Amino acid sequence: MNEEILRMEHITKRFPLGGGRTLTAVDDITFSVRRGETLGIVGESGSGKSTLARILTRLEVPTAGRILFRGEDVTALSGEALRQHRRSVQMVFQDPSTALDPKLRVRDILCEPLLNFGLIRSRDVPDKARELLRLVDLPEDFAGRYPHHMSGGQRQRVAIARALALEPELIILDEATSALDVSVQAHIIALLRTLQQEKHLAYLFICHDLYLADQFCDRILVMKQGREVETIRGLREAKSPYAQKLIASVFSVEEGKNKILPPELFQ
Amino acid sequence: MLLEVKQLGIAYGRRPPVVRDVSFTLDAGEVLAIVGESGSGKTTIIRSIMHILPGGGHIAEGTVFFQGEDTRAQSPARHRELCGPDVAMIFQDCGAMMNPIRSIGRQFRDYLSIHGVKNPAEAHALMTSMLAMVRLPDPERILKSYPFELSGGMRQRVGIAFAMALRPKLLLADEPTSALDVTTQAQIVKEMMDAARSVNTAILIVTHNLGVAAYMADRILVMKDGRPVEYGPAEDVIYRPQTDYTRRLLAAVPGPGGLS
Ligand SMILES: Nc1ncnc2c1ncn2[C@@H]1O[C@H](COP(=O)(O)OP(=O)(O)OP(=O)(O)O)[C@@H](O)[C@H]1O
Ligand SMILES: Nc1ncnc2c1ncn2[C@@H]1O[C@H](COP(=O)(O)OP(=O)(O)OP(=O)(O)O)[C@@H](O)[C@H]1O
Ligand SMILES: [Mg+2]
Ligand SMILES: [Mg+2]
Repeated sequence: MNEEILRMEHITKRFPLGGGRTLTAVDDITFSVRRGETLGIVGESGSGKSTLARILTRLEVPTAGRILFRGEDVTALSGEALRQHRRSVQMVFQDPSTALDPKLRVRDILCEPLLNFGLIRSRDVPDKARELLRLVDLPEDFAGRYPHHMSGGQRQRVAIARALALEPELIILDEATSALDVSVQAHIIALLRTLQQEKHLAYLFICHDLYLADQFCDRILVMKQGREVETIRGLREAKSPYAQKLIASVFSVEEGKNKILPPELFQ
Repeated sequence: MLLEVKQLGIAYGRRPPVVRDVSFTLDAGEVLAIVGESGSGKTTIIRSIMHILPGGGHIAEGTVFFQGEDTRAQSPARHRELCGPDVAMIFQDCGAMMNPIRSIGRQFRDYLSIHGVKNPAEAHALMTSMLAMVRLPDPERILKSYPFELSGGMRQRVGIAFAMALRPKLLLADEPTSALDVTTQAQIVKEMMDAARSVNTAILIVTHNLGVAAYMADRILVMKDGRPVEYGPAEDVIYRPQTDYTRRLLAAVPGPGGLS
């Protein structure tokens, strides 16, 4: 049951910057994820988290390295095989308003992938859309709305529902709860946990909220400038000064205005 | 009084109002945080202050006074004039607000030029200093980049640099740090507080991060279902909440040793 579902081996991604310069966004990253497991990725802005996620869904091709999914090399898939891969690996994008097609109503955003893979018939669309909306705590009558007629957090929940609809084996959640209030966020996290237990889903959870990652993830990969700093089972295990600095930067309700920020942030 | 909002009600098109009965005030140098339920109308409220509601959104009832002027009586030209030097906004979704086919530098230059910074050397110096202020490494690379070449947090910081460049009297910040890692968030929060203290910028911040709200805000407004449920000094709302909803929200904040 706990077999490895994903293995990223020595993944590197460089982008040309013009003038012969290149930027190494991801630098020799290796990790694996088992079925039913949640791997968190945290790290500073620009450290390569989203690039790694885009490589995994094959929206970007790595400059070097290998991606193994269910033991199969998917680094160079194309055509129908790639289409099937994208069904098994769903992604919730960091930027929900650019990820949802503005011309489609919510019911079509949610159900089009299901129709394309022949998993439902057209006449099932209204019921399926309502079911998915209920799942993420949105009113059923949102089925007829366009994404730009919704709030940021409502759009984010549509994106989550769409990713869940295809019943993938691995879901990448890239800052997928950042636009939600903490109470709705708790509901979504509970939902993800339940689905994980029922269906042995694996998650890759990219998140700036260290304590949320700590609660939700089995292991956390800490990244800095494209590289792995350390992989820990919980924040309490963090050894690197970099992870310590991250932890010391968190604002908490308890500390309120008495929070003392690490002086090295302002040098 | 810099900003005075009274009995505000806002509707989109002919739908029933999504915001009702919202009142608050803001003085120079003060910080007000709006927190609460996703979909409760926070973005709608702060957009209505700049009169930039999308999709047939309009103020259906109540008043918004800015610097003593009734903004509902002002012309669209007057609104545009005020946007930038007097009131500036950091959007919840900075990426979507940018032109995807223009470089950051070009968009930044145009923005400054519209508001009177026309000298190229002066504009360049201001742009690079603002990008450094929001801790973006290699400002020259950022200016040459297109939005898609930047990470989510980098785009958000570009939006913050735009909004703060003209030292507005009122900064409307919609989830300004939600796409930022915690160290960058701390740096940006400090820069915003410095602006409030040194040049008396008033800040209206919408955030889901109650730790940030507790640190920054003088007063907090809690929203649910389009209505205010609690409004008062930050210490009261955070440490002595009066409503079940606020208590529930505070209990759901992930923290060290937290459950769930
Ligand atoms: N298409 C691209 N072309 C050029 N550079 C890119 C491209 N996509 C990403 N980059 C660069 O790669 C680096 C890593 O970006 P990435 O989006 O992976 O960061 P991230 O860790 O997700 O950051 P954030 O937390 O801000 O979302 C950044 O310096 C970014 O500018
Ligand atoms: N253009 C629009 N047309 C119609 N309804 C809209 C439009 N924009 C927002 N709404 C609705 O108005 C309500 C308030 O939305 P708003 O974006 O202000 O919420 P919010 O408090 O900012 O939420 P979030 O925390 O999720 O960003 C929501 O129910 C939303 O669906
Ligand atoms: Mg990212
Ligand atoms: Mg909003």
